[in-house]
Amino acid sequence: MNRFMNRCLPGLVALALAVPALTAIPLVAQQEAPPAPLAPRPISFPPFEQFVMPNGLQVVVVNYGTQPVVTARLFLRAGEALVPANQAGLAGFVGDMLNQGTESRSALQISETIEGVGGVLSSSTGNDYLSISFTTLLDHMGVGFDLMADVVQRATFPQEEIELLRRRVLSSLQAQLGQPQAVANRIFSERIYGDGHPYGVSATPASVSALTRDDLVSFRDRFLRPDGALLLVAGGGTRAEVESMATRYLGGWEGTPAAPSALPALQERQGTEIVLVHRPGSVQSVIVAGHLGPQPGFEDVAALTVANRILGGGADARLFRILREEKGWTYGAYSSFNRPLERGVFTAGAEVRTVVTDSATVEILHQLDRMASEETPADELDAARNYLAGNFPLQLETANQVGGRIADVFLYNRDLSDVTEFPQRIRQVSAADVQRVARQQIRARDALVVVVGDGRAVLESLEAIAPVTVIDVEGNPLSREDVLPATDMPAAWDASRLEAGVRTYSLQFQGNPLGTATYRLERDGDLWISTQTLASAMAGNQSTQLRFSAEDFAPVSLRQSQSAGGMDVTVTIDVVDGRFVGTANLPAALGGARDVDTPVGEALLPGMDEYAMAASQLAEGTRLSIPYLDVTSGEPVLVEARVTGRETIEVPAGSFDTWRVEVTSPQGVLTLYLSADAPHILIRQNFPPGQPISLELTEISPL
Amino acid sequence: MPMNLPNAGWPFRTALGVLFALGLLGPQHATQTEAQSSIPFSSYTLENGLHVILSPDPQATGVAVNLWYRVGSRNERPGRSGFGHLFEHLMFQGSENVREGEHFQFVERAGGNLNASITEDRTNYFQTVPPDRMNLALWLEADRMRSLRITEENMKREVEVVKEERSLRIDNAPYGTSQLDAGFYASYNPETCFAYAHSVIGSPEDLDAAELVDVQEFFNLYYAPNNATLTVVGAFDEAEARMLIESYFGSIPRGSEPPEIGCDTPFSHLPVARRIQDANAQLPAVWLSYGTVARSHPDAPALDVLASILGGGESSRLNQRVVRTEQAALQSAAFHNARLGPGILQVVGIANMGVNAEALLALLDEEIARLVAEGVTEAEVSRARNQARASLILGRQSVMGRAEALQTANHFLGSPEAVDRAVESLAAVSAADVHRVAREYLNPNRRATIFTLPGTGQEDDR
Repeated sequence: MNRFMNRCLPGLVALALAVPALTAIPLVAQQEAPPAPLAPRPISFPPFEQFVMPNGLQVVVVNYGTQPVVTARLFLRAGEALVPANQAGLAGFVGDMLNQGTESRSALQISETIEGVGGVLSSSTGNDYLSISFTTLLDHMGVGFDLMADVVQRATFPQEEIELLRRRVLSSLQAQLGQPQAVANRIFSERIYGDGHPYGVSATPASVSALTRDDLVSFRDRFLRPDGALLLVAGGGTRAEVESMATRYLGGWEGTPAAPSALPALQERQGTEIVLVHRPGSVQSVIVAGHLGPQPGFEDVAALTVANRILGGGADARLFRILREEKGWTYGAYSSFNRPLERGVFTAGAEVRTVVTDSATVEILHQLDRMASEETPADELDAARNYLAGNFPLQLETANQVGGRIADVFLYNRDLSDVTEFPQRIRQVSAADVQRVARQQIRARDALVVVVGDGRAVLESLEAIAPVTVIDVEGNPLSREDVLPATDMPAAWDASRLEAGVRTYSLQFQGNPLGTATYRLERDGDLWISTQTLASAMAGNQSTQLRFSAEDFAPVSLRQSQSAGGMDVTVTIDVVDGRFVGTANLPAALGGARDVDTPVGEALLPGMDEYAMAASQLAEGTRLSIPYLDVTSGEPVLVEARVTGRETIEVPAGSFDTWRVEVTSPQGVLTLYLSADAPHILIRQNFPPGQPISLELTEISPL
Repeated sequence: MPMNLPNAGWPFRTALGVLFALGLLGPQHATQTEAQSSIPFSSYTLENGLHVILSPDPQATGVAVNLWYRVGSRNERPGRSGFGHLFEHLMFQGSENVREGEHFQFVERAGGNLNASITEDRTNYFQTVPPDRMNLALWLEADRMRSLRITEENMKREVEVVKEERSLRIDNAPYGTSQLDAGFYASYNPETCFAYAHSVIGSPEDLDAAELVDVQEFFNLYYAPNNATLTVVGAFDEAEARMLIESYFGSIPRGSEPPEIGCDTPFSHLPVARRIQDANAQLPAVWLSYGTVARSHPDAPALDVLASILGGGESSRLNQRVVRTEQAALQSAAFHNARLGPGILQVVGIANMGVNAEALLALLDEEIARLVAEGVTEAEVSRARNQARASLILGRQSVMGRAEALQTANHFLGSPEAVDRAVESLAAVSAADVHRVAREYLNPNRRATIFTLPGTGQEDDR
């Protein structure tokens, strides 16, 4: 494969800025209107040179700029799209591992060497390409070449560095579940590209956990090869200097990469459909609406660029003006399209307040539709064309910026003139061109709309717009009933199913121990007494004693004290004549001291919810609603629990067959793993997505 | 939006930026064999006192129009903190010939980019525009220098916006309070050096107390042509630029000379120690601020190199010992923040889970003490020098980067000529210089020690 070979590129192309000409420079001391433009200054698109090395490596040299700096970027056709779904994330993992050790340098030696000359060495991986780059001062270009060549050819992937990186990647995947924009983008790609297309596949904890050193080595050996790759060197280096460096450091590198396998055909969407990603407790909804974008080889780029600028390409565009400035629904609303090697996407979206989710969805679809159904007024067209054409030269300031434009031409098989004649082409776009391209490329009626938000608040109003499919943040299907609040009241709890004993847990943050929790349950006549202590450097010390009926869970008393970082909490509550009575001394931030006096009704004391679950009958799909007293408000609130699956998990106390239970409370969403055997004791607890904190069972013993 | 606070950002994100943005400039000269980076320019002063620096570059693709006013939070009086920052907002609220919000629209529709920012020492307004629209940018800057439109209504509204900005960026951000209110300011004695002992963003009470008459007075005093420097860099004709500048700015009347700012014995109250409860923070943190010298002082370059060796980059001493080997901190870094007046050298660490602030401080102190006792190696000096030089030169690739470099040299070292000495002064720093300044300035009795503790509660002076 060598798609770079037969191109003949002109070295220098003049970019005349076709600004309306003008004559005199205004000399009025205090004029009322802003001055008309000065005489246009032609800007030349910077020259560049290219050559091919005997090993097939294509080299482009952009010798440009006044400062003695150089950036080199090596692009390899080794992106995530080449990886099977069960290894998703492998390409990026290889990229990040390259500078973590080679045959002659440790990770620390690599960072000392590049920092020693004030440089930067990094990698970046997308669907199509993996790239390795360095930036140094010109007099240290050799150091950069030496390191880049070393890591691309001789990385050793040390096992301990693999595990360090794996931990970081897993934390970051976990954190992404707490970032609604990241969830929306992931689900949008999955749905738009469909099963089996690599552009729709993202790394998962399972795929990253399964990666082995052999996988990394094999990927490197197959795909990190010079034949057909692109080396872009931008900045102070001349062609002769670059050629000598490239020959010295990369001349001995050999091989042709494995050919990528053919990608499955894509299905064009028909009709508007909404995918609601239920994220209980969200105060905002993320909306992403769009469909497949231009085909590879698309030629109407200038018109689509102008259309996008008018619709949502900045703060001076329709989506921003209407959704933010007129309606006040959001901080920002934008649209964009991309053109990767295979087919890209067109999207529009915003992050809006929950209550306006449906209105904003309707408005975004309406604005998409207007682009195709109405001709753009002249002043909007002018504003868009002037910005795009005028700003273009300002994006050619540094050698690296110029190089990036040229690299895109090579990497994505584009026309060089699309870059060099960009301003002229933009200025030639007419209102009719915008409408024509919008009819083909901006299609509200075929849009997929992904909404990440609180389904309880938005599901029913979205159903009025288009058919809605509901899923959770990990992509598992949910039914309407899963989302809308449960109406069941608790079954008659049977406390005799509990067993006395002591359980010890370790509180962990990103795998580091943070403290210890002990749960002791003992029988005292007709009562269960639960004593819970937590000792943690971060969360402070906490101790809780609960007393409740050993038959039907009827609450009797709660004693709780906590001290953390100078913040003391004491709670004393007894059940007297069918009422919770007592005091809660809370920090000022949570409302200070409070007397509690409220009817018990069906409610349990806080902390008893765990025992209620332990004593329940759990099965796939079981849903429980457990009311308990919230001491900060003094009122009963509802915990909703739902069994979402069965898993065998490893914790320090051993291997356990468990039910996975999603618990939604006013504090957020927790995932519990309860032993599949009754009583269903807690084996592991994960805190809300985005907080890499967990509680794991370390020991269990009878009294 | 026109409201970034360069010194209010994350120290880690801007590690090199904070350290080196001001340029490692100094009065010493040294022989250079390395590649040179120079910025040719000419400078002159209009009759009304506006200082102009022009650096035409026919190779450039745009023009940077960059205006620095010699006013920062250091110029504010007690009870009037935050005025400088309020102005950074008011300058986009319209003037004689420009309606509210139009400044942005005019520049964007011409294809340009723009912004503004304020620090303790200066306020800057800047736009990069296509060459044929240099005149638009100059006209817009002149119009608001001449005739800023300040009304009761837009003042009150911007006061609210600034207060909202404060709560977003400081009160609700992890480490916001400890880093700003204590990390940057606690080392200065508020009695003798109010200039640097209060925050750029100001207190909500002072902002609420702002009266239209105070605001107008502040504008008249500090936003006059004789208190500003205009720098234009890029693709323009020098004669044309001079003519346009005279035409737009020449008739703006000169203002009276702003008063000198006092900052005597700024560090007389040190050492101080303070614990801050931060409900937004997940992990304890330690902030150490040592009193140092002004940017123009001969010791400043050696202090820059010292901070870099201690805590700049992956291979710095703090990162190697405290983060990698001991795994006691998630991040640790050091910066030298030199100013027009006396500066500070900061050492920062965010503890790992399970490590308390005292234990982290003990480790940081061990590394600092080792450096003071044993000095540094030539290899470390060379690495720090190369990092600084690279960062400085990389920043000069854009017309705006060069405009800022000229303004920085002019403002902090008294003349734009100093810009070409930047790289040379770095080469003059030796391992012995670094060891000497370490012994002199890294003195536990000349520092503020701040602990950030996760959780809620009141500030607690110890």
